[in-house]
Amino acid sequence: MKTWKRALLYGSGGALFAGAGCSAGSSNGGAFDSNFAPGNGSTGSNASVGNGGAYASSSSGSSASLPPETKVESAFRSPVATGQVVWIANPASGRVAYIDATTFVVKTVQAGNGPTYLAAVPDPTDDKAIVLNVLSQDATLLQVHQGTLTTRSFPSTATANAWSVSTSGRWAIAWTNTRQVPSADPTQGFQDVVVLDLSTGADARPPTRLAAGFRPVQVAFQGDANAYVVSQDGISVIDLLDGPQPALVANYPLSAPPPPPLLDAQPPPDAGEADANAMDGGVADGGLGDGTAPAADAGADVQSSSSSSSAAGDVVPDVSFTPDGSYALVRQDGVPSIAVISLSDGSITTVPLPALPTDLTMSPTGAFAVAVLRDTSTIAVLPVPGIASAPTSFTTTTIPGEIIGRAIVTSAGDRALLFTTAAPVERMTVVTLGASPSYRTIPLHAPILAVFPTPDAESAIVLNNLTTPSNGVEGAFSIVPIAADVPANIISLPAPPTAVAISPLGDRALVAMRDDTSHTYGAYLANTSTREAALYTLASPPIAVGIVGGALAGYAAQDYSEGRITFLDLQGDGGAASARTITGFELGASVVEGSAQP
Amino acid sequence: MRLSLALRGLTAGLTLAAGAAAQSQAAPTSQPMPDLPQPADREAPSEREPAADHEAPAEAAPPAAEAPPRRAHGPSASVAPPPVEVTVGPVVPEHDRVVERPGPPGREVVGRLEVGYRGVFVTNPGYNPFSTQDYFSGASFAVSRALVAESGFSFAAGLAWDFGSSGAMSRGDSAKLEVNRFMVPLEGRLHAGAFGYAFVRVAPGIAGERVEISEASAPSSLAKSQWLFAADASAGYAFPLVPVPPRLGRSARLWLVGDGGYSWVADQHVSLTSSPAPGSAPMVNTIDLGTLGLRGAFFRVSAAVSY
Amino acid sequence: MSRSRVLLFLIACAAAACSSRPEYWNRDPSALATLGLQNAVALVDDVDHEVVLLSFGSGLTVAKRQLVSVGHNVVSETVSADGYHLFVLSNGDWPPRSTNDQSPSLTVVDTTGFTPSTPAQSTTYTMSEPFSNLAVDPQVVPGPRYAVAYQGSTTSAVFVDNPNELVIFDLAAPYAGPAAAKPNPVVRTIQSFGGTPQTLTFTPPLRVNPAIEPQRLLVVQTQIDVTLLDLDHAFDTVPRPEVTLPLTSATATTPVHPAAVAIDSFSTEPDDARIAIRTSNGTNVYTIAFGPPNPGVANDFTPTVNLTDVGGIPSDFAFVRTDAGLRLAALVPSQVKATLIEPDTSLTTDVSLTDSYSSLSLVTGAVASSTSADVALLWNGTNSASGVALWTLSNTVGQPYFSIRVLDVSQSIQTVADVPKSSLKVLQSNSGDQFFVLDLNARTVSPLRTSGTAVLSIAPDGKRVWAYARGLDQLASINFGTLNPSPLWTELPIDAVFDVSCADGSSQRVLFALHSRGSVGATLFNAIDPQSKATPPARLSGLLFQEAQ
Repeated sequence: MKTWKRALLYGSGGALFAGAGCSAGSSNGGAFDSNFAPGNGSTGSNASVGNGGAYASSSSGSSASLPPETKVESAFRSPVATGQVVWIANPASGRVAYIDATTFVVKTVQAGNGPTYLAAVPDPTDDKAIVLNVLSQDATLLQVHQGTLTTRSFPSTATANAWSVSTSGRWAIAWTNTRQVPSADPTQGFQDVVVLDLSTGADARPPTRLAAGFRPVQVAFQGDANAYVVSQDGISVIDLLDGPQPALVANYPLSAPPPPPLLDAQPPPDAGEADANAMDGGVADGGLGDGTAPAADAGADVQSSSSSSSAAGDVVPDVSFTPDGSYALVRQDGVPSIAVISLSDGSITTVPLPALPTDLTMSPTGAFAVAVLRDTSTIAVLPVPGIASAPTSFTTTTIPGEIIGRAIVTSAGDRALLFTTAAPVERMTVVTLGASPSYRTIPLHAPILAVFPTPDAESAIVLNNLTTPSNGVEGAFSIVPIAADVPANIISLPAPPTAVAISPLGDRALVAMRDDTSHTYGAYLANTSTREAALYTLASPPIAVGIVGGALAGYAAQDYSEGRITFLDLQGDGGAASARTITGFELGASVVEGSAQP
Repeated sequence: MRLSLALRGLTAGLTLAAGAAAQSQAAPTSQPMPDLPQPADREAPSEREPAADHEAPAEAAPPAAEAPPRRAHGPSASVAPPPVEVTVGPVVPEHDRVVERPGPPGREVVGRLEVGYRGVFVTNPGYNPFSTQDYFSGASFAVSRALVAESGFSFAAGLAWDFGSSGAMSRGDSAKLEVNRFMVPLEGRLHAGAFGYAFVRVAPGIAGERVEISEASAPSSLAKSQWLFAADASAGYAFPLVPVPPRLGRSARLWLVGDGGYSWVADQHVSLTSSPAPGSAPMVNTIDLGTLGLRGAFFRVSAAVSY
Repeated sequence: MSRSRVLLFLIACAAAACSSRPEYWNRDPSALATLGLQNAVALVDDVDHEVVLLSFGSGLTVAKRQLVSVGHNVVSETVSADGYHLFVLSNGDWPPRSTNDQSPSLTVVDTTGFTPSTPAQSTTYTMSEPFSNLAVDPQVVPGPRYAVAYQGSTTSAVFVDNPNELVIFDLAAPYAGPAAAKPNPVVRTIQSFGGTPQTLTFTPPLRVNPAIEPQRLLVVQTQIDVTLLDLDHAFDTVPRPEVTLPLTSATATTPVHPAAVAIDSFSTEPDDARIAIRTSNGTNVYTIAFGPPNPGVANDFTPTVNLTDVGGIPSDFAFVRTDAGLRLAALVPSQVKATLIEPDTSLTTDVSLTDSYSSLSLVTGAVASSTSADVALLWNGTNSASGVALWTLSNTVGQPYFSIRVLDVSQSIQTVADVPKSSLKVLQSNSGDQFFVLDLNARTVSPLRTSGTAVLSIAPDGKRVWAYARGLDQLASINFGTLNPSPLWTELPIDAVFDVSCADGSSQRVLFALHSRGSVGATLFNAIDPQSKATPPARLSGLLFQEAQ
């Protein structure tokens, strides 16, 4: 039975919360989607695209022949964690289990029929989560208040498979992430979204079903005022508060300039090429734990949820929103420019760039965006919102001799991590942004698969891409100091890494690995200060890791028929004493204490 | 208490019997009874015997003149006229009468042999292993001889042997009790003419009790034998059956005798063990069945022959 | 005496003649149990409602015979693990039809000080209704503390009964009726989700909560779940509620049935209280860990359940100490393997075995080992060539926990019996005509053959084993020191033997060979020197043929 696994897999929804500065706090550094796990046949093919083995010999040559950069950080998902509680849905039993990470007590609550997609709901006092019941086509809001759990039901759509929740926790939108739909008919638009007001006050709006654009891939909020649905039709604007109920008020096209012809040397963009920036700054469904996001280039007020690939095969631009929701920046593959869309009126400003951008990243502060021009080993820093009025006001910084295809801006916005996943380059460049940018190149001793900076911007966890595993080594990750000029520590793994989570303080990180062939399962608890890592062997394949900040514990959700999760003491040393596994959520929740008999 | 009462009753009985005997000896001369049957009256005994006593029914009792004299039972016949009998109270019948013989000094031997059935109601718990009911039965044999007879009273003594046994399955084992009692019955009789007599009897003696249990786990049967002092005290009545009709006079007679009273045997502690066969392991424990007291009310029904 | 008095006398005599003796005498003493204690032999005579306690002198005599009254209609009798306490559970005269009828009861006979001059002490606890089964606390020091009567799977003769009702006895306290301030025993009805108590297990003191002293728990197995009951607070005015742990997932279609319980009793360290459960029809092993109580929880602990699939139905299991720490070792005969489960993480390590052993027991204390890891004895395999194996639970180079040494036993082993105070084990083969003495220190296995199926009885002092054939008249004493069989004969068939200490303070011991014939007999032997000329065998007969009480 894969039900628990499935629920965990999709529990975090379709987008990764990347807003390190988000007031709600992000839960997850992300988790490898099972796409990366051998034998885990989920959607997408990021790993295959990103391996880049065919280009290993071109690391020192021209980058023009390189494939598109891969952005797999979004595939790193975790179960939903709120406060001290981890939520896991069981579609088979119709129940949702919530596990107290401090007491390890498991309880279950009856949801609808087929609870599958979970998302955490920010709340200052309570543990709240909302789950999509795919069979009964409704949603259940779960709220634990002072130990008592209550539920509320809401309508949903027939095809919804993702959540987007506003930072305040008031709004939740159930929508269909078409990138999670492996084979959609051309006539299937998946345009229905349901906007739910989770508040209980007198001014609470009724649940509202709206038709957004064709095949949504991303949903973002601007505070509690507006929501944006990114689709092939553009950006649909939902006014949440002005009317008696939410209403779709506008739809802005994503680009004014027609897309230029594709470069002959470039292969067609892969479906997994979607920009990680699109996830930046959003409250990912299921991403409201206490963990932190790997990248942080979204503003404080705008959160978006998206996925990184389109299973339907449609090319959807990489959209990033400014934190205040005034602008959206759009990058399209093969287009040597950035479109800046004013969300107030839909006007588009085209920012021509000297080369094709391979990545676009919004700073978490919202002050600028970074576009990476791999062909020239240059980054362009676009001031926001100034770039909208002065399209040429961006500045460029060239990193000579380095192939850089992607950029991730740290949470403080003062550094950018530059690297490439398209070539077997074993280096990463840290650029200190400012009036006089400087950079430092860090040798990593292995190509890069994904990069996860810590929230404190002191370190980063880098997953290495091993093209030719040997000697029992199937993968590796590196603990990379960003602020200090000390060597990175590469740790070889007996199984490919499958998930990463970073603690809110940035001092600990969890890296899960999984090899179903050799039945090698485990999770490394990395200390970013000492750059050491301790191995916890897991009893079953991990499918996600996460951090429960309230409990100072990490957890590794595993693929097990009865449901299994292992909690790891973040201060532990890898010994058994600092790990506690909970298996059989249904059974654990069924423990009943009788009544006293005087 | 019951024993003391029984003994007291026995003493009273003996006193009564002795008194009656003394009275019967004095009566013929000192207190003639005007209503005694005269010789002439004996021709019509049927009219007066019921009023006097029951010893001589009219048809059974021959006329005194025709009745053979008691001496006729002696070794030699006598030609003297028959004596005129003068009786006071019940008449000691011929068969129990001690007769002076004219010949050599001595008395005519009047003996009796009894064979009977004897049942004892035993309530002692020690008897439980040996019977499913509180009842012990046996045979009783006795011989006795009248030693003194006067005026309707007589005293006899004898020897008696009572044998009884009882057995039961107790706790899965066969338990058996055998008792042999050798008693000396001392009997005082109050005669009722030809219709027999009532009597009281005390019988001291000894009783041999043998207890045996066939216990499957024992090397052999567990048994114990012990002689104990015993005594009976009873009262009863002897009724002549033959000849019919009863008649006075000395002749062989068959009696039906019944008596009831209290039987007592001294207690014994029944602790059983077995003797192993040579070479076998000895039995080192005993089976303690507590105290057996074979006592209780009893009755006896006998057939007796006197001559 | 008037005629009427005579008539009354005759009637009385007739009545006396017709009165029957007590029923005691009419019933065979066949419905009895004979139990061996450390220093006495107890014959339970339900007919006479008594227990006959026999102690023996060194001269092969009965040193003391004591009768202890027990309740009517005995349904269960057992001896405590320390061998000094006898428990007799009685139904009484049930259902009661008069005020004179006896209530159900439990009689506890303490023979700790049973000597010729000191009688054994007995305590009777009355119950409000009869129960068929009794579970006794296995605690040895200072003796059993608790006992629990329960209905179990036995069909009750009561018109209406509650199979989930437990009667808990505090054996350290006297009987106190229901109206007492602190009644003893107490009656508890455990919550039921469809199951009824089948097997009860007493835990040693477990530190279920680091903040409090270790607690005794009662583990109640029903057909479908397991319930934990806090024994130490069972006699409180408001006792702690029980906690029920289901074993069958709500999504499962076939319920699983608990088969056995293992308890981690190695220490009372914090976080070291664990209980494991295996089922008879499931491949999962359940481990229960304990944590501090959650708010609103009445008990001092909160149990959490983990389950681990071991790939097949486990036949036996035990908590073991390995080089890497505590593990739960489960034997999976169908997979010819053992699985070690890390109880906190559910990590499993499969260890391939040489045979599909289905039983194990820890022999760590009896084995000279250079490591701190446990050593387990494996047996009951299918391959007769590998009767037993010693499994050292330490890592070896390249093969974790694969330190298995198969001992050269020519037959497959059915049972393994402990020898007290010794490094020896007695192994009995499946065929029954051979048994082995295993020296765990020397790793030697000495075969001993019997002409028939032998019943083995190991002396409590660990010096010898008695072998006899039930129903035959032969037995033998095998001294563990020399392994020299000393043949003996009895005149009656033997039904059981008990090796008991003498009551006269000597170091002698007596073998009580029971003959269940008639009113029960026995042959006594000098247990230490059965061939002694100075103390030849002696017979006891009619042990139950006694004066009615």
